[in-house]
Amino acid sequence: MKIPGLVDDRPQAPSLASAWQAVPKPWLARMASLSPARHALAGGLLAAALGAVSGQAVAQAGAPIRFMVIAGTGPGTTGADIVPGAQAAVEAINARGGINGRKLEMEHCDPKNDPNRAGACARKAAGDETIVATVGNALLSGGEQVNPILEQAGMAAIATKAYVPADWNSPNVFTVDLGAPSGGAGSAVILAGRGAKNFTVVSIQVPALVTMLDFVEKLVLPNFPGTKIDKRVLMPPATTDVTPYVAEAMRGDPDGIAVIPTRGLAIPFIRALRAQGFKGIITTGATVVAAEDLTGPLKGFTENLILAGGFSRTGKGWDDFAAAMAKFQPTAQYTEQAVVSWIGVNQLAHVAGRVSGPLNRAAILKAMNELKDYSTDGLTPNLDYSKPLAVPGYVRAFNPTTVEDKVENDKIVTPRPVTFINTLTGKKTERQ
Amino acid sequence: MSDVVKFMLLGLGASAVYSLIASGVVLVYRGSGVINFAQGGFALVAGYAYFDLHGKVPLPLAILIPILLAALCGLVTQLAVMWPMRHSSPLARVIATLGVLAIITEAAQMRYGDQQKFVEGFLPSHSLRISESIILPVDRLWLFAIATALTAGLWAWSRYSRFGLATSAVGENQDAASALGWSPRLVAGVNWTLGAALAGLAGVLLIPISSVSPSAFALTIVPALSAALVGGFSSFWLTLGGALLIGLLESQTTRWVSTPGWNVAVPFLVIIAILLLRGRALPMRSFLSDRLPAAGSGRIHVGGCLTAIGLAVASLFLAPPSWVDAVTTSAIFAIISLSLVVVTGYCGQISLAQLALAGMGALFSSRLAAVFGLPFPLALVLGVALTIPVGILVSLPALRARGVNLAVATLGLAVVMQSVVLGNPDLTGGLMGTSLKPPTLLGLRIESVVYPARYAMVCLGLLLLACLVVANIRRGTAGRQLLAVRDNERAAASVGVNVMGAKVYAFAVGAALAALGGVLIAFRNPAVEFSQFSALGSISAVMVTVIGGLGYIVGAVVGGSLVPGAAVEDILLHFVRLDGKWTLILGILLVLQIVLVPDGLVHQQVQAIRHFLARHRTTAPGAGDLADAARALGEISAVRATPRVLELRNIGVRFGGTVAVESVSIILHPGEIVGLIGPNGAGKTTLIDVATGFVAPTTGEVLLDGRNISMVSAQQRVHLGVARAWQSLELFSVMTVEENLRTAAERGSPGAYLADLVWPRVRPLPDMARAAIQTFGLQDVLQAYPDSLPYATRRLVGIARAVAAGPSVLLLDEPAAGLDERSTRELSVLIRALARSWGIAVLLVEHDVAMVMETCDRVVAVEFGREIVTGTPEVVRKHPRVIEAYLGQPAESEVAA
Repeated sequence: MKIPGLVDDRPQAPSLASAWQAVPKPWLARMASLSPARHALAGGLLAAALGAVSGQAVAQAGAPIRFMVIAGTGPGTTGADIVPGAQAAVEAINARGGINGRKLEMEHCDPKNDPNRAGACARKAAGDETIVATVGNALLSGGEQVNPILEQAGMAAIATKAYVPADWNSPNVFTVDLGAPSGGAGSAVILAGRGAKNFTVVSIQVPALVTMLDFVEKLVLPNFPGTKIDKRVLMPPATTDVTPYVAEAMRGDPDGIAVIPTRGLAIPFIRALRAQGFKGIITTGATVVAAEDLTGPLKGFTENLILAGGFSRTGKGWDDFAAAMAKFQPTAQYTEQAVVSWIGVNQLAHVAGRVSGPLNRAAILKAMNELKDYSTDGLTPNLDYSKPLAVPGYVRAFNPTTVEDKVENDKIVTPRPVTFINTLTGKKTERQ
Repeated sequence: MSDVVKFMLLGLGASAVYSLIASGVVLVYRGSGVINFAQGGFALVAGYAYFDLHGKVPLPLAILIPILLAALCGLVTQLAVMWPMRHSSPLARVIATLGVLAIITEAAQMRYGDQQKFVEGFLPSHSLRISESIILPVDRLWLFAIATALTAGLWAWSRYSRFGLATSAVGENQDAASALGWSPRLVAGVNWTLGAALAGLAGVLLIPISSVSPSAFALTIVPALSAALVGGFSSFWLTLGGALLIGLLESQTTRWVSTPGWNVAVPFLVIIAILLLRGRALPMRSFLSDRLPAAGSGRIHVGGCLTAIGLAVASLFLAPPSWVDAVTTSAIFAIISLSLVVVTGYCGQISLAQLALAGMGALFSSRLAAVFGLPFPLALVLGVALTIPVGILVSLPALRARGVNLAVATLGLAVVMQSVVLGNPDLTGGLMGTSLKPPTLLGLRIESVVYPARYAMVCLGLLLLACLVVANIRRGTAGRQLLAVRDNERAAASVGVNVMGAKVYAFAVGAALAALGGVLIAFRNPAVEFSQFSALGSISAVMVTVIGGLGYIVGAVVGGSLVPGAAVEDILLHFVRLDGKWTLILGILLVLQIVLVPDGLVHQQVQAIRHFLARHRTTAPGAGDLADAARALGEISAVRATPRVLELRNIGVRFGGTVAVESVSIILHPGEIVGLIGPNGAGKTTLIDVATGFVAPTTGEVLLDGRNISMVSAQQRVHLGVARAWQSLELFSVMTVEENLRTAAERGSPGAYLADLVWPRVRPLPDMARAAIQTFGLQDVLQAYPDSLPYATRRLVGIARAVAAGPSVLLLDEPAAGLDERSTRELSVLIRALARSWGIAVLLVEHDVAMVMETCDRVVAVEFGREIVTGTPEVVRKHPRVIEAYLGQPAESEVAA
């Protein structure tokens, strides 16, 4: 990802030409009359002074560019991986010198799955003029509260992980993936692509995920005639034992089973499916499986397991992301959610670097609205935020694509050639 | 058929987990009388500890250490929290366990971070193929075997071990157990430790099934409590049965019902149905009412109200935007807390469904606005109105259950509403949800996003209105009747209060208030999120209200300001960086507060003001004097009761296999005093219970003026003119003497209940009540609380209260018990006056035979439920069987024989 204004991450000497500009003219005249020895001494002092002056100039221009992340951090919350992804991006960018010499600074507000608190977070962001945007908002419940406040404040919601209608319809939201339906839609597309006619979808009974099933049936499957959801199995969020739900999911011998609950339930569910003898294709969202799961609880259970990814894991974009996570968030156990906020922070840095006038929230919002052909270095197709999507109710779903990931050698990989499948049209696009 | 068997077997795993946690709940309850909501928290501690230790220490240690750690948590909770609270109300103690749960879950999140943890279990994990279609994971079978074995062990331990028997003894009567040398503290401590250890075992076993997650572990308490409810919080086997029922129903519903949410709802509905079938409309004589937090007077301090509202409104324009948001949140949740003040604080019915009811209000109003375009005010009114019938449905368990049973039932109903209605997108707007146009009021846009101060003012205005309504209720007939029901349902019924009606009324008003809060939540944003109206949220609403003071209107306001995102957190954020730890801090504050000030913060302030006023009062209220009362008799001769004849004809009563009364007949004429004597266990009080409608006769009839009233309810009999005074007084301790009498004198009606919402008129006491005050010399103690009066005066208040109901027939159950000889004589004069001057028919049950003989016109002597003799006092006094029964000597004829 090319970020205008981003300073090279190697230590750099101050530019001599610009430093000369800072030296008062009488001082230059006085230097010209000095002896060579004294000239050398004066030159050394000047060099030291220049360094100081130059450094001071960066600091003065460099009040941090602040943004807020409104996402949960607790187990089972939807934004658990958002914060480490954003933090890794911030540290990577700052390590390279920031944006035009200004550091990025993240403020995290945790609504703890409480929509009223989410609203309070949004008001806090709106009330603080130094916060220029929000990035990576991920709210299973709270989006309806947050987005209107951000709209009112004229603040961009970059890389919002969409869960509720407001996330797909607020003019201030700039998504990088499909959000809540991505796992279900991607799974449906993958199963349909593999010839499945009847499949079961397993999810948890929270409105955002239940409506995901409607999304798949009404918007995705019409693109794949002959394929239908045979059965919906909805588990309570606090399911004690998944085995009855597993048995119900397997009943009727479906061609495949899409498992789209939270991570905490997806892992026992996949294990129980295999333990009860299901041999067919199991698909799940790549957002619900962490790399560590493949060597941990899912080891030995990954045969015929296909992951509907929101992002390609093959290419520079993923490599950069993984390297930053390894370097700056080495203890984080993350999923694809972290990629969402990683891209979002980079997008913010990108548009902030392009702003020529005052860097404020209006400038960021305008720049985001004008952002076209934005490259994520292959994580997604190039993104275009200048035109809303022509799908009523999902006009801000700028990237409704999925990729088909597999598990090889206990790692999730996106097979080459990387193909993005548009879940709303069925159209495939091979990455250039 | 094979599916039925298959899903039955697949339900065993969840059943086992519920059973383990529920058995711990039962252990704790048997040992200390506390319903421990923190069981899931103890399981969480063990689960995380097992996660930490697995693979790092030998497996037996990895299993044992977490269980011990959970046990330690249980012990510490008992010693540090529960023991200091042993005299607090059961509700306060339940809330304290919720505080412990909040602390554990929040601390776990801080310690273990963001991700759910999964680790391999230690039970065999392969599958067992029972038939072609039935494959079972073996670990679930092991799990069930462990739960069953532990149930058997606990049963045997409780039945045959000395400690188990001591636990039962402490559960029955702490004082008696102490006298036998058993320390209630030790018994409670051991049971808490073992109960927590059981939760720990459940936690260790649960990880490979559902992974460790605070929310999942915390929520296991809901089905576990239901299982314990089936076991009556005492029987381990029935608790296992309850757990099996829930697990199996969950599993079967998963197979047979495809509509979302019913797999969660059906088990709870079945449990509630069982509860209703097993419950009683009025509690048994042995039932002890739970002591509830203190209740306020409902007096309105106009100056204080105006100042508070003025300051709040001014602050909206002076403080930063976050404060406006905080005020809105505070006002909305204060309204929801007010619903708890009415339902629990005033009426004593523990409801854990109030936030779910708020959700119903939000649903009705928002769907009406979204689908039919109704304006905000109309949607608000209809949303509130439509929620009232739902509140009445929620009240149904309260008609036959009380205390913790009711709490569990209402929690179950909250889960049902959440899973079947509020969590069902088919009802909440489908794919696009429920979006709302900006609300307007009087042509002014008030949406919170654009005009936060306006919306906050609307919320404050409605809060003020809600406060006035609740204050009106408290000061009116309705409030007195609710408090009477809360204090003592049997006593309330005995003075003519329609107990069921009062409960339904409280739930209806509570639902309306909760719905009002819900509507304000719904219209606060352009779209509604129904997931916020969760069952756990209902519990949190109770928590904050308890901190404020459950019986006080101001307590609700304080409670509302404590919720996350409300005023207190906002103020604190200006001084300290909370980093999202407010919930943890709130949990700690809750536990500290409830240990130190169990009646709530507001109560403490009220007490301080009362003490201040008491110190400055010039004359203290004095007790009535029996002699003065007797002298005043001449002044009330004009009062006459409606003459009625009560007849108990061939009454027989059986309790199971025990015959309490057998074919006893008594007739009471106007102005006549009939004595009923007999040794303990003769059936005297049972006969009064039959006459007044508290016990249904197995045989025989109760006739009033010849009309059979055997099927007439207790409170209706009071209205017909049959009243009683209790041996154990049963005065309403939270009401003044005047309120006690007024409660008996007033007749609650739907009209009066509705009128009280707007204007609680204090009607003049009827002649009979005023005469009773005069007759019994209670003028000087009218504003005193019963507990502050001497025993003899309380006796008089008890009789006066019965007389205030305006009876034609008065049944007095040992009115002289505890009185000295002089007071007894004077009481005798009073009773005679009631009969002679007022024309009341009196049945006097008394052990003081001399008093009976001196007072009564006729006497009926009973023994072992049978009538020995009926006649004048002289005849009865000389009857040989009476002499034998009282003096233990054989009758002369038998001696002669």
